[in-house]
Amino acid sequence: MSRDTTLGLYGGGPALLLTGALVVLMVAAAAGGRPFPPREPLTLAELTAVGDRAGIIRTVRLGVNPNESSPVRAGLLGDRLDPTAPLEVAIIANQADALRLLMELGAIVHSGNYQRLWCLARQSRNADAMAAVEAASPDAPPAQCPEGG
Amino acid sequence: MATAVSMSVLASPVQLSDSLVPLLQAQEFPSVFEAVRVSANNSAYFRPFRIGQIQVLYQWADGQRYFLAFRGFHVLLVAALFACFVTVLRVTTALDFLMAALAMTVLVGHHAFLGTVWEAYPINHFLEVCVLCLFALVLSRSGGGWWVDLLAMLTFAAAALTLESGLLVCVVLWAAWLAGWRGVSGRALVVLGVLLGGYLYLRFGYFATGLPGLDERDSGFWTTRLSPVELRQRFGADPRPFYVYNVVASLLGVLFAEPRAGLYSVPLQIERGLTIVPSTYLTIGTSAATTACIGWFVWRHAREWVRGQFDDAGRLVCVAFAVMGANAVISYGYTKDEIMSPGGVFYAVAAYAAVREVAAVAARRTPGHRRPELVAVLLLLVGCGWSLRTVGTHYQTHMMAYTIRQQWVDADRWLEGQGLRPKNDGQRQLIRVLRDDAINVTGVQPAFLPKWPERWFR
Repeated sequence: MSRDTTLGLYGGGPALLLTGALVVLMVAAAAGGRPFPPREPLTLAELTAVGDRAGIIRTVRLGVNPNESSPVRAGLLGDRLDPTAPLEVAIIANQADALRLLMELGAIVHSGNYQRLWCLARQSRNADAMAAVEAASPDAPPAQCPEGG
Repeated sequence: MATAVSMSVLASPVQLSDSLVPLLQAQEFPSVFEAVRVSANNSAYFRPFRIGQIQVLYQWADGQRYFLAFRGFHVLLVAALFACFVTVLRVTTALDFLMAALAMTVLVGHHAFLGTVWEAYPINHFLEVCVLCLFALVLSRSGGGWWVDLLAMLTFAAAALTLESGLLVCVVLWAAWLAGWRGVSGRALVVLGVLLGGYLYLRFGYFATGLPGLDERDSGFWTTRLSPVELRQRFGADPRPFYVYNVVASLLGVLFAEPRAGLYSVPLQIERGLTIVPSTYLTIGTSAATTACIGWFVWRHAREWVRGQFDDAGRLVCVAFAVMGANAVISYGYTKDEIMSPGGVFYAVAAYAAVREVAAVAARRTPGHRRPELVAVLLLLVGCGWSLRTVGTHYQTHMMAYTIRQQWVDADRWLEGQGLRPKNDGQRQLIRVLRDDAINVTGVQPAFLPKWPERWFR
């Protein structure tokens, strides 16, 4: 190899390595393989936690019930959450837009979850969420919340 | 590299804020001719082909194939850009090949290029102008002939009537001729001058389009973004200092990655008491090192150029400087990375010629001389830096795609905020299809990504 080519390899080598890596990734993707360790798709509650509203719509369109509880893996909203309803997650994560979207998509505030949602919103000092929950329920706000609420 | 960029482009839905309105307009125009005719009468901007091209693709999409029409055309433009880029470089030796690989990372990693791929417009006209400018250089380097002259004129007409920066095609053709490439004949360049005169007459005489004023939009100035009102207050009486600032900032931005869109990020971060993020070091460091190589090349050849002696590498660098300079002048009204994208593309061309010569000259040094080792380290740093910046372009494209998907959720509310409402079923259908295209595609989920790319690729 001539000296100028050797020197050229220092400049062009990283670009060639990058191109090689891109080719491997593209071939793997085209072959249906997964170049990175597979991850479970986000649940509706998790999409709510990260505020991915496009993902929420896509998931509901796929037939997932917007009232159905699901766990939230650790790292998305602090520690792992046991199965939690998307509306509750929206309030905990302070995702007011996601909360409104879930309601538009069929998540229901009813007498069974109203107090919990309202108290969660109060506990989070989330005025937007409190207003949205109040507007969605025919009941009056609860007189008191459990300790901490 | 082109395929990788294309895949990132395909992951991006059609952008909302700057795209939906032209598409709704396209739905209202009865024909392509009407779209061109109406848009020729706009004030401040003379871009009749811009809307005309959107209209062509809109009609081809036929109510359903928007994603295929717009994303497909974007991918075609990316492929054309890379084809022209490689043709211009004329790779013949192993060193050429290695330097072309580096130049491609300069092309894709340059911040001015990002704007041509990270947002999917109906048609990304900035990218189109980049392609046409490179194509003009391909014509200049060709063997010539009447059809080359004809293509040169058509290329100029198409570019100039699409965006103002399309006038750079003229700069490419003239600069290439002056540097000694005669693929496009002198007679054709005279005709080109007549066409340019015709453009100016149409714009300032017949249509009285005029020029954009100070109050068109926000603009970066030193470390602050000035609103149109603030711009009028500060520069309304005499806008010339602001225009000079924009020209200088645009040129410095291409050469040194600082300022960006008129804003100097280092003093900005210091002013706000922030730690300077790694991406600032990365972009300024790689750009400064590459520009130093180009500067060294200019210094080495300046005397020959003054005597009218050019080799191919010298011609590439001279044409690149002509484009970067003219691009900066065209950006006098306000500075933005996307507007400087032709300058960024030609910066990559200049980098190819200059860094190749750095390697070739260093290799000729006698054994025992330490300069080759220093040059090897410099080249390795530059190569790694631009490769990282290339990864950054892909990263930012995917992050932007995520943001745009979220924006489409609120498309109806956004339209209402603009005082617009769909006027008929066709427009409602258009919005629905584009929204579904955006929402139904699963893309990168930022929640799964580590935090470091945000600091390195900002």
